[in-house]
Amino acid sequence: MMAPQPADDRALLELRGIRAGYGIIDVLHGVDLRVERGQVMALLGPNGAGKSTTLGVASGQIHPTAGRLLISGRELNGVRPEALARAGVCLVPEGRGIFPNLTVAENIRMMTYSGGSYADVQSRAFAQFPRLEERRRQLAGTLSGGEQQMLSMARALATDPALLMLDELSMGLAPIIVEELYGQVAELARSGLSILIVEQFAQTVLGVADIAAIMLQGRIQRTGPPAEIAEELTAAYLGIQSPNGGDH
Amino acid sequence: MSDDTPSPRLNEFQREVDELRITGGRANPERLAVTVSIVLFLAAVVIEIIAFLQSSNADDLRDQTDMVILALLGVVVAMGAVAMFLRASLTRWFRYWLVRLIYENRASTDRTVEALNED
Repeated sequence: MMAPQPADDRALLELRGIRAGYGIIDVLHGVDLRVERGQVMALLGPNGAGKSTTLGVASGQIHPTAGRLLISGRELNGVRPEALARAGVCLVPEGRGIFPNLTVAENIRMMTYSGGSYADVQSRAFAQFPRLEERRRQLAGTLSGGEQQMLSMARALATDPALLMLDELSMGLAPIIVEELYGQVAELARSGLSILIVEQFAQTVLGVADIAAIMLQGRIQRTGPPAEIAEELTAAYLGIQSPNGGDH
Repeated sequence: MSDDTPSPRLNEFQREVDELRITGGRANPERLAVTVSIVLFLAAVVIEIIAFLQSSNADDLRDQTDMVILALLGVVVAMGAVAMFLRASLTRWFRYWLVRLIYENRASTDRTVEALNED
Protein backbone atom coordinates (compact mmCIF):
# COMPACT_ATOMS: atom_id res chain seq x y z
CA MET A 1 0.00 0.00 0.00
CA MET A 2 1.28 3.45 -0.92
CA ALA A 3 2.07 6.04 1.73
CA PRO A 4 -0.42 8.92 1.85
CA GLN A 5 0.72 11.88 -0.24
CA PRO A 6 0.37 15.49 0.87
CA ALA A 7 -2.49 17.40 -0.77
CA ASP A 8 -0.06 19.41 -2.89
CA ASP A 9 3.64 18.59 -3.04
CA ARG A 10 4.52 21.38 -5.49
CA ALA A 11 7.09 23.76 -4.08
CA LEU A 12 6.09 27.41 -4.13
CA LEU A 13 9.42 28.28 -5.70
CA GLU A 14 11.86 25.89 -7.32
CA LEU A 15 15.01 26.59 -9.30
CA ARG A 16 16.50 23.69 -11.22
CA GLY A 17 19.99 23.96 -12.69
CA ILE A 18 19.65 27.71 -13.16
CA ARG A 19 22.43 29.48 -15.04
CA ALA A 20 22.22 33.23 -15.35
CA GLY A 21 24.31 36.37 -15.38
CA TYR A 22 24.74 39.84 -16.77
CA GLY A 23 25.64 40.13 -20.45
CA ILE A 24 28.50 37.76 -21.14
CA ILE A 25 29.34 37.29 -17.46
CA ASP A 26 27.79 34.19 -15.89
CA VAL A 27 27.08 34.51 -12.16
CA LEU A 28 24.96 31.45 -11.44
CA HIS A 29 26.42 28.10 -12.50
CA GLY A 30 23.58 25.66 -11.94
CA VAL A 31 21.54 26.71 -8.90
CA ASP A 32 19.08 24.23 -7.38
CA LEU A 33 16.77 25.67 -4.73
CA ARG A 34 13.36 24.74 -3.35
CA VAL A 35 11.10 26.83 -1.09
CA GLU A 36 8.07 24.90 0.17
CA ARG A 37 4.68 26.39 0.92
CA GLY A 38 4.74 28.28 4.21
CA GLN A 39 8.49 27.80 4.57
CA VAL A 40 11.06 30.40 5.54
CA MET A 41 14.37 29.81 3.79
CA ALA A 42 17.57 31.71 4.50
CA LEU A 43 20.01 31.93 1.61
CA LEU A 44 23.41 32.82 2.98
CA GLY A 45 26.78 33.51 1.50
CA PRO A 46 29.51 36.10 1.06
CA ASN A 47 29.38 39.10 -1.22
CA GLY A 48 29.45 38.10 -4.89
CA ALA A 49 28.17 34.57 -4.32
CA GLY A 50 25.15 35.16 -6.58
CA LYS A 51 22.42 35.53 -3.95
CA SER A 52 20.86 38.69 -5.37
CA THR A 53 21.09 37.29 -8.90
CA THR A 54 19.18 34.23 -7.65
CA LEU A 55 16.43 36.53 -6.38
CA GLY A 56 16.52 38.37 -9.71
CA VAL A 57 15.84 35.09 -11.51
CA ALA A 58 13.14 34.05 -9.03
CA SER A 59 11.35 37.38 -9.47
CA GLY A 60 11.55 37.25 -13.26
CA GLN A 61 13.86 40.25 -13.56
CA ILE A 62 16.77 38.22 -14.89
CA HIS A 63 16.07 35.55 -17.49
CA PRO A 64 18.13 32.39 -17.04
CA THR A 65 20.33 31.19 -19.89
CA ALA A 66 19.72 27.58 -18.82
CA GLY A 67 17.69 25.70 -16.23
CA ARG A 68 14.07 25.95 -15.09
CA LEU A 69 12.20 28.45 -12.92
CA LEU A 70 9.15 26.78 -11.39
CA ILE A 71 6.55 28.73 -9.43
CA SER A 72 3.92 26.61 -7.73
CA GLY A 73 4.75 23.72 -10.06
CA ARG A 74 4.55 25.69 -13.32
CA GLU A 75 7.61 26.45 -15.44
CA LEU A 76 7.78 30.20 -15.88
CA ASN A 77 11.08 30.88 -17.67
CA GLY A 78 10.64 34.19 -19.44
CA VAL A 79 7.64 35.44 -17.47
CA ARG A 80 7.43 39.21 -17.19
CA PRO A 81 8.43 40.42 -13.70
CA GLU A 82 5.39 42.70 -13.35
CA ALA A 83 3.05 39.78 -14.11
CA LEU A 84 4.81 37.67 -11.49
CA ALA A 85 4.64 40.52 -8.96
CA ARG A 86 0.93 40.98 -9.65
CA ALA A 87 0.36 37.26 -9.05
CA GLY A 88 2.01 37.48 -5.63
CA VAL A 89 5.79 37.01 -5.96
CA CYS A 90 7.22 40.05 -4.26
CA LEU A 91 10.85 41.15 -3.96
CA VAL A 92 12.13 43.67 -1.44
CA PRO A 93 15.40 44.66 -3.12
CA GLU A 94 18.78 45.31 -1.55
CA GLY A 95 19.16 48.82 -0.19
CA ARG A 96 15.85 50.60 -0.46
CA GLY A 97 13.11 49.72 -2.85
CA ILE A 98 11.39 53.02 -2.29
CA PHE A 99 10.99 56.36 -4.06
CA PRO A 100 12.88 58.83 -1.84
CA ASN A 101 11.28 61.91 -3.41
CA LEU A 102 7.72 60.72 -2.69
CA THR A 103 5.97 60.73 0.66
CA VAL A 104 5.30 57.55 2.62
CA ALA A 105 1.63 57.60 1.57
CA GLU A 106 2.55 58.13 -2.09
CA ASN A 107 5.00 55.24 -1.96
CA ILE A 108 2.26 53.00 -0.61
CA ARG A 109 -0.25 54.34 -3.14
CA MET A 110 2.01 53.06 -5.93
CA MET A 111 1.30 49.51 -4.82
CA THR A 112 -2.28 49.79 -6.05
CA TYR A 113 -0.86 48.56 -9.39
CA SER A 114 -1.55 45.05 -8.08
CA GLY A 115 -5.28 45.73 -8.34
CA GLY A 116 -6.16 46.47 -4.70
CA SER A 117 -7.88 49.68 -3.69
CA TYR A 118 -5.84 52.46 -2.08
CA ALA A 119 -7.73 52.02 1.20
CA ASP A 120 -6.96 48.27 1.30
CA VAL A 121 -3.31 48.70 0.41
CA GLN A 122 -2.89 51.49 2.96
CA SER A 123 -4.63 49.68 5.81
CA ARG A 124 -2.60 46.52 5.19
CA ALA A 125 0.67 48.48 5.19
CA PHE A 126 -0.13 50.53 8.30
CA ALA A 127 -1.41 47.47 10.17
CA GLN A 128 2.02 45.86 9.83
CA PHE A 129 4.02 49.02 10.53
CA PRO A 130 2.00 51.54 12.59
CA ARG A 131 5.04 53.82 12.80
CA LEU A 132 4.66 54.55 9.10
CA GLU A 133 1.16 55.92 9.64
CA GLU A 134 2.59 58.62 11.89
CA ARG A 135 5.00 59.56 9.09
CA ARG A 136 2.62 59.24 6.16
CA ARG A 137 3.18 62.81 4.96
CA GLN A 138 6.96 62.70 5.35
CA LEU A 139 9.28 62.32 2.33
CA ALA A 140 10.47 58.71 2.23
CA GLY A 141 14.08 59.80 1.67
CA THR A 142 14.09 61.63 5.02
CA LEU A 143 13.06 58.55 7.04
CA SER A 144 15.67 56.70 9.10
CA GLY A 145 17.29 53.61 7.52
CA GLY A 146 15.12 51.26 9.55
CA GLU A 147 11.93 53.14 8.69
CA GLN A 148 12.86 53.12 5.00
CA GLN A 149 13.31 49.36 5.19
CA MET A 150 9.94 49.13 6.97
CA LEU A 151 8.36 51.13 4.15
CA SER A 152 9.98 48.85 1.63
CA MET A 153 8.53 45.80 3.40
CA ALA A 154 5.16 47.51 3.88
CA ARG A 155 4.97 48.20 0.15
CA ALA A 156 5.62 44.52 -0.52
CA LEU A 157 3.11 43.27 2.04
CA ALA A 158 0.45 45.69 0.85
CA THR A 159 0.07 43.53 -2.28
CA ASP A 160 -0.76 40.45 -0.16
CA PRO A 161 2.10 38.34 -1.58
CA ALA A 162 2.23 34.54 -1.56
CA LEU A 163 6.03 34.52 -1.74
CA LEU A 164 8.09 37.29 -0.20
CA MET A 165 11.77 37.65 -1.05
CA LEU A 166 13.94 39.87 1.11
CA ASP A 167 17.38 40.93 -0.09
CA GLU A 168 19.86 41.97 2.61
CA LEU A 169 17.24 43.30 4.99
CA SER A 170 19.87 44.09 7.62
CA MET A 171 22.25 46.03 5.38
CA GLY A 172 23.45 49.24 6.98
CA LEU A 173 21.06 49.02 9.94
CA ALA A 174 21.73 49.01 13.66
CA PRO A 175 21.44 45.56 15.31
CA ILE A 176 18.41 46.62 17.35
CA ILE A 177 16.55 47.71 14.20
CA VAL A 178 17.52 44.47 12.46
CA GLU A 179 16.10 42.53 15.39
CA GLU A 180 12.87 44.52 15.20
CA LEU A 181 12.55 43.90 11.46
CA TYR A 182 13.18 40.19 11.85
CA GLY A 183 10.55 40.16 14.58
CA GLN A 184 8.12 41.32 11.90
CA VAL A 185 9.43 38.65 9.52
CA ALA A 186 8.86 35.97 12.18
CA GLU A 187 5.30 37.23 12.63
CA LEU A 188 4.71 37.03 8.88
CA ALA A 189 6.14 33.52 8.82
CA ARG A 190 3.65 32.47 11.50
CA SER A 191 0.84 33.65 9.22
CA GLY A 192 1.93 31.02 6.66
CA LEU A 193 3.64 33.27 4.13
CA SER A 194 6.55 31.67 2.22
CA ILE A 195 9.68 33.76 2.61
CA LEU A 196 13.09 33.59 0.98
CA ILE A 197 15.63 35.73 2.80
CA VAL A 198 19.05 36.56 1.45
CA GLU A 199 21.65 37.68 3.96
CA GLN A 200 25.41 37.91 4.34
CA PHE A 201 25.31 37.85 8.11
CA ALA A 202 23.55 34.84 9.47
CA GLN A 203 22.86 35.07 13.17
CA THR A 204 19.56 36.95 13.17
CA VAL A 205 18.08 35.33 10.08
CA LEU A 206 18.81 31.78 11.25
CA GLY A 207 16.55 32.43 14.22
CA VAL A 208 13.48 32.80 12.00
CA ALA A 209 14.33 30.34 9.20
CA ASP A 210 12.97 26.78 8.83
CA ILE A 211 15.76 25.84 6.46
CA ALA A 212 18.97 27.48 5.30
CA ALA A 213 21.31 27.20 2.34
CA ILE A 214 24.87 28.31 1.76
CA MET A 215 25.72 29.79 -1.60
CA LEU A 216 29.26 30.16 -2.88
CA GLN A 217 30.56 31.10 -6.33
CA GLY A 218 27.19 30.81 -8.03
CA ARG A 219 26.23 27.43 -6.61
CA ILE A 220 24.28 26.15 -3.62
CA GLN A 221 26.90 24.38 -1.56
CA ARG A 222 24.70 23.00 1.18
CA THR A 223 21.11 23.05 2.37
CA GLY A 224 19.99 21.99 5.83
CA PRO A 225 18.57 22.95 9.21
CA PRO A 226 19.65 26.42 10.40
CA ALA A 227 21.63 25.05 13.35
CA GLU A 228 23.80 22.85 11.12
CA ILE A 229 24.22 25.57 8.54
CA ALA A 230 25.41 28.02 11.19
CA GLU A 231 28.42 25.76 11.84
CA GLU A 232 29.12 25.22 8.14
CA LEU A 233 28.81 28.90 7.41
CA THR A 234 31.76 29.75 9.63
CA ALA A 235 33.82 27.18 7.75
CA ALA A 236 32.60 28.52 4.39
CA TYR A 237 33.60 32.08 5.23
CA LEU A 238 36.96 31.08 6.64
CA GLY A 239 37.69 28.56 3.88
CA ILE A 240 38.43 25.68 6.27
CA GLN A 241 37.28 22.07 6.59
CA SER A 242 33.81 22.02 8.14
CA PRO A 243 32.97 19.70 11.06
CA ASN A 244 30.56 17.79 8.77
CA GLY A 245 33.29 17.01 6.29
CA GLY A 246 32.40 19.56 3.60
CA ASP A 247 35.45 21.28 2.19
CA HIS A 248 34.75 24.86 1.25
CA MET B 1 6.16 24.79 7.85
CA SER B 2 3.95 23.63 5.04
CA ASP B 3 0.39 22.60 5.67
CA ASP B 4 -1.34 19.93 3.57
CA THR B 5 -4.43 22.12 3.20
CA PRO B 6 -3.61 25.14 1.05
CA SER B 7 -4.91 28.50 2.29
CA PRO B 8 -7.39 30.49 0.14
CA ARG B 9 -4.56 32.89 -0.73
CA LEU B 10 -2.41 29.99 -1.99
CA ASN B 11 -5.32 28.66 -4.04
CA GLU B 12 -5.74 32.10 -5.57
CA PHE B 13 -1.99 32.31 -6.16
CA GLN B 14 -2.05 28.91 -7.90
CA ARG B 15 -4.88 30.10 -10.14
CA GLU B 16 -3.03 33.30 -11.02
CA VAL B 17 0.19 31.40 -11.76
CA ASP B 18 -1.70 28.97 -14.00
CA GLU B 19 -3.16 31.91 -15.93
CA LEU B 20 0.16 33.73 -16.38
CA ARG B 21 1.18 34.29 -19.98
CA ILE B 22 4.83 33.81 -20.78
CA THR B 23 5.87 36.40 -23.31
CA GLY B 24 9.64 36.68 -22.89
CA GLY B 25 12.02 33.89 -22.13
CA ARG B 26 15.36 34.93 -23.51
CA ALA B 27 18.30 36.23 -21.58
CA ASN B 28 19.64 39.41 -23.16
CA PRO B 29 17.16 39.64 -26.09
CA GLU B 30 18.91 42.70 -27.56
CA ARG B 31 22.07 40.70 -28.19
CA LEU B 32 20.03 38.27 -30.32
CA ALA B 33 18.39 41.16 -32.18
CA VAL B 34 21.80 42.72 -32.94
CA THR B 35 23.11 39.38 -34.27
CA VAL B 36 20.00 38.84 -36.42
CA SER B 37 20.20 42.38 -37.79
CA ILE B 38 23.86 41.91 -38.82
CA VAL B 39 23.00 38.60 -40.54
CA LEU B 40 20.07 40.28 -42.34
CA PHE B 41 22.29 43.14 -43.49
CA LEU B 42 24.87 40.72 -44.89
CA ALA B 43 22.05 38.82 -46.65
CA ALA B 44 20.88 42.13 -48.17
CA VAL B 45 24.38 42.82 -49.48
CA VAL B 46 24.47 39.33 -51.06
CA ILE B 47 21.03 39.94 -52.65
CA GLU B 48 22.27 43.24 -54.12
CA ILE B 49 25.41 41.60 -55.58
CA ILE B 50 23.34 38.77 -57.10
CA ALA B 51 20.87 41.26 -58.56
CA PHE B 52 23.70 43.35 -60.03
CA LEU B 53 25.50 40.38 -61.62
CA GLN B 54 22.29 38.85 -62.98
CA SER B 55 21.05 42.14 -64.42
CA SER B 56 24.40 42.67 -66.20
CA ASN B 57 24.01 39.29 -67.89
CA ALA B 58 20.32 39.73 -68.75
CA ASP B 59 19.50 40.75 -72.33
CA ASP B 60 15.75 40.68 -71.92
CA LEU B 61 14.14 43.75 -70.34
CA ARG B 62 11.72 41.50 -68.39
CA ASP B 63 14.67 39.69 -66.74
CA GLN B 64 16.25 43.04 -65.92
CA THR B 65 12.96 44.16 -64.33
CA ASP B 66 13.00 41.03 -62.16
CA MET B 67 16.50 41.90 -61.02
CA VAL B 68 15.44 45.47 -60.22
CA ILE B 69 12.66 44.05 -58.04
CA LEU B 70 15.19 41.72 -56.36
CA ALA B 71 17.52 44.67 -55.76
CA LEU B 72 14.65 46.65 -54.21
CA LEU B 73 13.91 43.68 -51.95
CA GLY B 74 17.57 43.76 -50.89
CA VAL B 75 17.27 47.47 -50.05
CA VAL B 76 14.14 46.78 -47.96
CA VAL B 77 15.91 43.96 -46.07
CA ALA B 78 18.92 46.24 -45.46
CA MET B 79 16.68 49.04 -44.14
CA GLY B 80 14.87 46.58 -41.86
CA ALA B 81 18.21 45.27 -40.57
CA VAL B 82 19.46 48.80 -39.84
CA ALA B 83 16.21 49.64 -38.01
CA MET B 84 16.45 46.45 -35.94
CA PHE B 85 20.12 47.15 -35.11
CA LEU B 86 19.38 50.73 -34.03
CA ARG B 87 16.37 49.71 -31.95
CA ALA B 88 18.28 46.97 -30.08
CA SER B 89 21.36 49.16 -29.52
CA LEU B 90 19.32 52.16 -28.35
CA THR B 91 17.18 49.99 -26.04
CA ARG B 92 20.32 48.72 -24.38
CA TRP B 93 21.83 52.18 -24.15
CA PHE B 94 18.69 53.84 -22.74
CA ARG B 95 18.22 51.06 -20.19
CA TYR B 96 21.70 51.72 -18.76
CA TRP B 97 21.01 55.47 -18.96
CA LEU B 98 17.78 55.08 -17.00
CA VAL B 99 19.47 52.99 -14.31
CA ARG B 100 22.24 55.58 -14.08
CA LEU B 101 19.72 58.41 -13.69
CA ILE B 102 17.87 56.52 -10.95
CA TYR B 103 21.09 55.89 -9.04
CA GLU B 104 22.27 59.48 -9.44
CA ASN B 105 18.89 60.75 -8.29
CA ARG B 106 19.01 58.47 -5.27
CA ALA B 107 22.56 59.53 -4.41
CA SER B 108 21.55 63.18 -4.74
CA THR B 109 18.61 62.66 -2.37
CA ASP B 110 20.91 60.90 0.11
CA ARG B 111 23.32 63.85 0.03
CA THR B 112 20.46 66.32 0.59
CA VAL B 113 19.09 64.31 3.51
CA GLU B 114 22.58 63.98 4.99
CA ALA B 115 23.11 67.75 4.72
CA LEU B 116 19.71 68.43 6.32
CA ASN B 117 20.51 66.07 9.19
CA GLU B 118 23.86 67.76 9.81
CA ASP B 119 22.18 71.18 10.24
